[in-house]
Amino acid sequence: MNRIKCVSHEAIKCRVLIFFILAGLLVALSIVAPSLAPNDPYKTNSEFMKVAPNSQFPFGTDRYGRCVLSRVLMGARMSVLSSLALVAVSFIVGTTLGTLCGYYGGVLDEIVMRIADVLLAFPQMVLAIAVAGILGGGLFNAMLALGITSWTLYARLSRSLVMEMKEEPFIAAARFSGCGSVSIMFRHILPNIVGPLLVNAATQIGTMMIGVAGLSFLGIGVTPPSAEWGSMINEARTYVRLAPWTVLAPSGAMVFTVMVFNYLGDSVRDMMDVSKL
Amino acid sequence: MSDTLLKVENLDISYGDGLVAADVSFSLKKGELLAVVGESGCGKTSLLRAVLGLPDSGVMVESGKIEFDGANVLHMARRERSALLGEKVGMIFQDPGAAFNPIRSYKKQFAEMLKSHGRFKGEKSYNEILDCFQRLNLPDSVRILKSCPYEMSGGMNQRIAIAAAMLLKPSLLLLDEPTSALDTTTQKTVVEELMRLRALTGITMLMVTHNLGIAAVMADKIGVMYAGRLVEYGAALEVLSHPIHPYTRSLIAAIPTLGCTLPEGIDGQPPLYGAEAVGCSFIKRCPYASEKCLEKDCSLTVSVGDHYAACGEGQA
Amino acid sequence: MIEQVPILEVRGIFKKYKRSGIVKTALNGVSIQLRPSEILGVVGESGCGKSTLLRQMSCQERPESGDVLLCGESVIGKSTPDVCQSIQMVFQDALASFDPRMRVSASIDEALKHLTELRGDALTLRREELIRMVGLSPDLAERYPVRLSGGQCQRLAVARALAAQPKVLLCDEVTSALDVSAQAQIVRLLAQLRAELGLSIVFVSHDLALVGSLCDRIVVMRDGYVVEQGAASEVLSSPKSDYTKQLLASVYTTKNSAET
Repeated sequence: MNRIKCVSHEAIKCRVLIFFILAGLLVALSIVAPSLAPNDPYKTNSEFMKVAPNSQFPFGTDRYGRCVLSRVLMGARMSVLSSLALVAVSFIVGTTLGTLCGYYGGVLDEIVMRIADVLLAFPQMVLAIAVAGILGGGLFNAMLALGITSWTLYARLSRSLVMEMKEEPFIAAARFSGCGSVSIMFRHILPNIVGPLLVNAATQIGTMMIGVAGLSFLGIGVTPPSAEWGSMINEARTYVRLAPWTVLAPSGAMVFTVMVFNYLGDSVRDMMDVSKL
Repeated sequence: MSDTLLKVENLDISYGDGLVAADVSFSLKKGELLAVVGESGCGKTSLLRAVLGLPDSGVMVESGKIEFDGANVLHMARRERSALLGEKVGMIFQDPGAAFNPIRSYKKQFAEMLKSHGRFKGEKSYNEILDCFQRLNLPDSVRILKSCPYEMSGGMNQRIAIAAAMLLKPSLLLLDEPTSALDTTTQKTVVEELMRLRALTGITMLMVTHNLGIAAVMADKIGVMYAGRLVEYGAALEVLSHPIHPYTRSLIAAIPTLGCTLPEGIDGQPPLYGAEAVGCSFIKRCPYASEKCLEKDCSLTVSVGDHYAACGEGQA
Repeated sequence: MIEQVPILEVRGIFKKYKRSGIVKTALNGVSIQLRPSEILGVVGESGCGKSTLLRQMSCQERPESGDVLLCGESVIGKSTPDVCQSIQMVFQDALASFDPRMRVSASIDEALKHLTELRGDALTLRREELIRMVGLSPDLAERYPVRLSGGQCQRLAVARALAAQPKVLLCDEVTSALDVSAQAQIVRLLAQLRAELGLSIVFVSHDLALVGSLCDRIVVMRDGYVVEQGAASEVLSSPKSDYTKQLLASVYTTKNSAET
């Protein structure tokens, strides 16, 4: 035990709150984006092409004269909400499978884990590109392509946590209290292992966002004219020197959002650690 | 040259918040064994850490004096203190696995230990180690030296830890509940080994334990701690056969004997930060409590010869 | 005299474990009887199989061969939830035997909900009654387990075990992690519960003196075998087995040391 506690528990709780609020604001922003956008994100303007930021177009316009700010706001919807949805589904599917495998073991465990092993043998993005390519473009297919491997993270983690936790005396005591297996898994085991899982989920939001943007950048995710940060960067790549705001705006938004969720994950992890002290 | 190896006077110890031990005073002559007994949370382990002075333990001495072989340890610079205590003071921990890296062989770890004190002499040192093992009746010394801690039982690891502590020929050995984690028969082996060690080398020992039975067999002097304060102190035989303080009396009554009668429990729990409290912290659990206990002076005021206590109500 | 049917009995239990490829026999043909309202002590060192024995008795595991009988009826093949109305267990690490995210009162309520018909106010009253039965005040149970001392946790664990009004209480080294005064409190509590409720108790420990002070009969185990069994007073005063004698010689009490 160190004489000087580096960061107090209060400071850590404060940090978690700040990043949680920031993340919440980002999500709220994505939801109300259409009403906030100053201009129609899909409307092209031939007389305002590649215009620098001004009062009418706060972030300037792209090569088709579309308002960059409005497109960034609409893109937030695509990026943030889709990653959240993707992570939520992976989390639920992965954790459920992992918990069942860890608790019961046996044939189920073998099958699920071998499937996970096979899927993880491929580099995640390469597999996603292949799957998205086969299924065709579009946001839903991009999410599916990424989701094929993203559940394995939660499945493996929850499985090992459950295997450890089911040996604890309070689980045996719960059996003596008359609890059945389902009750034990959901009332006793899950609440005690959810910490590390949530931390991973928070960090994965950023990863998934970059994944969708990456696929869109390559042209197999969200395609124009839909506004999505990755596809916007791809589109503006060719004239970045003429109109740097067309790349800077979506990249900046992406970096900021990913950072907020990553820091949220970090602070949640710190909070979990400290409470164990 | 004085006979006293370790002298502690009015020591106040904390971990940065409240005091965990207050006004502790005792002295140890060369070759003596003092057992500090008490319930968990009474501050006895903190006392050991304060004497040892490990910088990472978090223990802070708020006031008082610790004299080792005449030198005031608390006034020394950290490096000086480390050098002095590293060589002259050894420590045995409660968890036999705690002192060693479980996956490195004992041979390597012993060599490392000697090297860090500049005492490694190659093959000669290994022979000395084997010698030490044999004197402590460790069977199969050559095989032990080649093994790793995880291959050994808890009892064996503890015996090897004792041998390791003795390698540097310290003058004071600190023991933190050395037998609590061990089986009954292994406990006996370790206790006998420690007693043989004392007979062989005349080493001075300060032992912390909650097992009064072991203290009875090994100790010359016993100090009883309660809620951070020393409540009774004197020759072991005296303290156990004629306890003065009510807590000591209750503690002795709580020990199961082989006589098939139930031991007497002490109702309630010791207070968390009793060291700083005014008056006696045992008041809520004491069968002799009265109003004057609320403002009692809790230093060792009652004495019968060399046997001291903070309160005389427990006398028969 | 009519022979009383033992309330819990194991006959010729064999139990093996596989650990890193090596098969170890934890129990070798162990036969033990627990009589009604008796406190039976099981003593031995670590590895002797006493905890494994309790796991077979409480149907947490199934032995390779042998029989487990509850009130004369075989319960082999049943699982813990089937027998938990009659057989309850208290564990060595009291703190770890409570869900760290639930208040202790909630843990006790859970047991009452599953094992009795009580609900609502009646349930709350019964919970408070159970907590008072173990000598604690009901508001102590409103805390989270980490805020309680080892002795308090252990007593609350006993209260939870009593929720089912069991016939048998299996105690697995329940005092080993406790201070000497907390140990004495638990042991007195168990004796009191036997006297008031007629509970039959199996008390496993490595502390021979403690077992001697509480138990009517003692079983001494070593390496999966029963080495000796008999009335506590007899086993302690005139042990037949060398191992028992060895265990006795290793006991340190203030009385015998003060006399030497």
